[in-house]
Amino acid sequence: MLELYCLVLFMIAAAVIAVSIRDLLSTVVALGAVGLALAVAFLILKAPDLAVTQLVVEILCLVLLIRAVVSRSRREPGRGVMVAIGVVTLVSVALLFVALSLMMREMTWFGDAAMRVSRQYVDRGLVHGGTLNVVNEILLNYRGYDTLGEATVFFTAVIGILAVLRRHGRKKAAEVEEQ
Amino acid sequence: MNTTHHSGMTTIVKTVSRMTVILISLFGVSLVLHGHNSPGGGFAGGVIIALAGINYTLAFGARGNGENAGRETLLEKLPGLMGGAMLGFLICWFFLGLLSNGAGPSAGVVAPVTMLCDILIAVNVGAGLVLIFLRLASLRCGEGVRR
Repeated sequence: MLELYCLVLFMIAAAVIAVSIRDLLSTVVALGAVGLALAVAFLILKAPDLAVTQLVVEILCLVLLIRAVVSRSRREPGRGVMVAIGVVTLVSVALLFVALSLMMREMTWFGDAAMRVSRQYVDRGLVHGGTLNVVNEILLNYRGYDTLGEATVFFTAVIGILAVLRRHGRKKAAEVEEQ
Repeated sequence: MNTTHHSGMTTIVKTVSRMTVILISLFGVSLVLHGHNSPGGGFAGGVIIALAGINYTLAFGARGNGENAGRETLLEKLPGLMGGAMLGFLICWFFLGLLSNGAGPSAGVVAPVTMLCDILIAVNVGAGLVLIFLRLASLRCGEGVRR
């Protein structure tokens, strides 16, 4: 549990830095550190599926945010930079394929569930829930926490979008320039 | 096709949309209400109902910059509706027996609660999507007016 506490402290520190710092790019980097630490925390808590999802979403958000932040001062990259980007991309894709092929050796055949719990869901779902749609029954019953979390994440995301796109209380361009 | 923001699309699109929006909405409601017994559920039904509203808005045009008072009122009320649905879902899920994984309530009790949860999830998802779309649409219209 010690590593988890260290990660939580790291995330709190990075979040405080993200809020307090004035440089937007540094804020985005600090925010990315929070998300990546969260992915590692999910991995420690034995939730690899959540960790992978968190990692993918975090990288996507990071790319979008960095693109949004540095768009004004964007310069065309030189030929050397483009070659370097191409090499790094090729190496990354090759490493990804190697990792996936190694992972597939450990996986069971399609249809042969490695997790025995899921078999219990199917067997007992109809009896426990009293509904004919077993998928819905699993979502709302056995994986109820998951569904509640999804609904909460969606609600929070909508509130966040409304806060960003609000019409009232926004600073005008002149006020921002004065600061 | 008319590209101005305020008048929507052509008469053909408007006529077809006027007829299909009701059918799409009914299909979404059907998915929500029968989600516990047939393929469907709150998420899918909520998205389809929201898409019906978005279809209507696209066909008939979006007015921004505070010109449409009804839609502004809707934009103010929908977050409350979403919050209420979230709270209702939490109460249903937590207090009406779904938490016990079928150990406590009988089958006859759980099925209506599942339907209620589906309805609340549909309200949450549908209201959220409509909210995002309307806010983005009004922002775009507002910018268009200023230019």
